Amino acid sequence: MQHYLEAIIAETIERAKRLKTRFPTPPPLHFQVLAHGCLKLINDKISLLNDLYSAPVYQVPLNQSARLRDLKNIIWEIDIIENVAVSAISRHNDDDIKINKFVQQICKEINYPIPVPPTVSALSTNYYQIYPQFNLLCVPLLECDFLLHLPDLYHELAHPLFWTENDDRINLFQERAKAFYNVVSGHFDRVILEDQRINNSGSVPNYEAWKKNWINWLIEFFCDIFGVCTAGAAYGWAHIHLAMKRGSNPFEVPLHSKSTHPNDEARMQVILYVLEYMQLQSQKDSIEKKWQEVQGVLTRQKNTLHSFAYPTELLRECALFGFKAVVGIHCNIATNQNGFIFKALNEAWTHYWNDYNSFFKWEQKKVEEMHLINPN
Amino acid sequence: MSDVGLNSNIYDVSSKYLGILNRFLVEANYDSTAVSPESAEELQTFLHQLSDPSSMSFQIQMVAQIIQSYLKKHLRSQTSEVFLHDLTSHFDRKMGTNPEVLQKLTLLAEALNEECTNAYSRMRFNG
Repeated sequence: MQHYLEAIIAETIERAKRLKTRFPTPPPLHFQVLAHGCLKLINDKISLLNDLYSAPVYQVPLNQSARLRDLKNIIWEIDIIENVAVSAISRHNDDDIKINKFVQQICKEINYPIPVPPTVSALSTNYYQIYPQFNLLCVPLLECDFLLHLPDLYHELAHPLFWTENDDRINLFQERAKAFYNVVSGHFDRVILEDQRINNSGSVPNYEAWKKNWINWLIEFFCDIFGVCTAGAAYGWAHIHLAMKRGSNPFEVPLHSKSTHPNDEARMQVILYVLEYMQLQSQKDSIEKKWQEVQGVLTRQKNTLHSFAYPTELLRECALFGFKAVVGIHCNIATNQNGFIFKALNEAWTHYWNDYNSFFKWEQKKVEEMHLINPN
Repeated sequence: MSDVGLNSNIYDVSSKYLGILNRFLVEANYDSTAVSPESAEELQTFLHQLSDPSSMSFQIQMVAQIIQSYLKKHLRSQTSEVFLHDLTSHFDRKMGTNPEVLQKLTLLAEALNEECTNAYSRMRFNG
C-alpha cells in the first residue's frame, strides 16, 4: 500500500507540473494577479507532495492513513485550481474584460475594503460563484449584457470579508459576525434548556441543528446585508427575482439536517429590516408588497417551525449587527451613494416595474454605456 | 447565489485546522519523543481556542461548531466540552503524545476530514 500511495503522489506531482505549462504567456491583463496566485499555489502543493513522498515521518505504516488523508486534500485542491482557475485563465474571452471592468468600478464606488478586487470570469456553469482562495468570481457568460441580477455581485463581494486574515480594515466586520453568533448561540442554548425542562427534550435535535446551521446562515445573511447596504433597493428586487426564477420553497425549514443557506423568506425579512435601518421606507414597502404577491403565486406556506428556526428577534438583531458591520468598515452605503453603476442598477429596476416592454431596449443602451466606463 | 463561496470557505478553514492536527499526529506516530515544539504549540493553541470559541475569531467559532456536532454524534459517555477540556489539560501537562490522547486527536481529525469531504463535494455538485 505504501508503494501504491507513493505512485499516486508521483503521478500527482507530474500533473501539477503539467498544469503550470497551461498558462498563456503572458496571461491576459485582468488575469495576471490570478495567474500569479495560482502558480504560487501549485508550487506550494508540489512542495507538500514532495514532503508527503519522501519525509521520514511518512515512511512508517502507522502514518499511511494520515498520508492518504493529506494526499486526497491536495488532489482536490489541485483539481479546483485546474477546473476553475486555470480554465478561467486559459479560456478568457472579451466578455471577461467587460465584467472585470464592471466589478472594479463597483469596488471603487462602494469603497470595497479589500485592496485587490476579485478577478472575474464569465465561465460559470451555475449562476454567481466566488472562490475566495483564488479571489475569483465566476458569472454566467451573458451576465454582463443584462442588469436585473447584477446586484447579486455585491453579495458575492462580501464573502471574502469573512476570511481575509490580519487586515485591520475588516476586523470590525468579522468582530460583528462573531459577536452576533454569540447572540445566536446564547438564544439556542436557552431554548434547549427550556425544552429539556418542559418538553422532555423533544425538540432538542432540531434546536441543535438550527444552532449549527446558523453559523452558515449568518454568513449568507451578512452577505445579503452587505448587498442591500451597498446596492440599495436593487438588491431587494434582485432577491425576489432570483427566488421567483430559481428558488425552491421559500419557507423551507431543515429538520435535524445540515443547511448552508437560510430560506428566502428569512433572507427577505433581514433585507427589509436593513432597508428600514437605512430609512429607505418607501422602497422597503414596495419590495415587501411585491414579496407578498410572489408568495401567493408560489403556493407555499410557513409552517409552525419557521419561527423557531428563524425567530423574528434574531432576524432583526442580525440585520442590525450586519448593518453596523458594513458601516463600520466604511463602505459607501446606498443612502450616500451616487455611483454610475449603483444608479444604473436601481434605475433598471424602476424601469422594469414601470414598463417591461420598453425596458429591454433601455437596458441594452444602458449596458453599452456601462461598458464604456473605465474604472482606472 | 450558489453555494460555492460558502463551501470553499468551509473547506479552507476545515483543511487549515486539519493540517495542524495531521502534522502533530504524523510526528507523534513516527516518534512520540521527537515531536517538534512548533507542531505541539500550534495544536495546544488550537485546543485552547476550541475550549472557549466564543472569545475567539469567527473562523474558530465555525470550526468549533463542526467539531462539537461531530463529537455529539460519536461520543457515548462524555460531553464534547469534557472531551475537549480533557485533551487541553493533557497538553498543558505535556502529555499530548499519550496513546489515549492520540486516539482523541484522531477523532478531531476525522471530524474535520469529514467536513472537508462534504464541503468539497457540495462545491463540485452545486458549482
